[in-house]
Amino acid sequence: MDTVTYPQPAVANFITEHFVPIRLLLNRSQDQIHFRTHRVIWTPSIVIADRRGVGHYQSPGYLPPELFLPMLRIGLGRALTAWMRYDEAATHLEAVASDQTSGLAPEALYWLGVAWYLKERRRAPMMRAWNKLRELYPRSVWAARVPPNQENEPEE
Amino acid sequence: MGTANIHWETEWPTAQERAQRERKYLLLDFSREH
Repeated sequence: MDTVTYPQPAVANFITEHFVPIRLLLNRSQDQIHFRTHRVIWTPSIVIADRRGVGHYQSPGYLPPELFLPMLRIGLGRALTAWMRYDEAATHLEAVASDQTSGLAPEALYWLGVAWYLKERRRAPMMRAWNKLRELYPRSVWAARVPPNQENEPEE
Repeated sequence: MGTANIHWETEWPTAQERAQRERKYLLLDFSREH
């Protein structure tokens, strides 16, 4: 991570703009409480947390820059959604979803549908994202997470 | 292509310090020293 992914300017600049980056080391006794708190059992792992230290997204293992940056956007989108900052969340999730070559685009579309639903409490905006997910990535696990016949459900 | 530096914090910030970083989230990098 320190030799390939973090030195990439796009990655470093995104982190500096959007996060307080904190490094926690398994070898340091004072950091081990954080491994236990966040149930991290493997290094490297990334956790995106709010300022209270509550984790909202976890990404285990190494990722190259072209996947690490969209992972950060999804994780940030998840944290923003949890804090009801839906429009900001959608901006990051849409940025990932717009790159159809990205391996993380299906996950971004799934959470984009969730953010839109939570913002408007209506299925229609959610289904715009989820129908695209099923159309473009029918074999992805994220498409499988969409329940069948959602379009036929009445709005609450 | 150039490279960039990330200024990692290595001490867990206090609640007051975290509150001062309004609207920023924490990126926790769990690693081990090599």
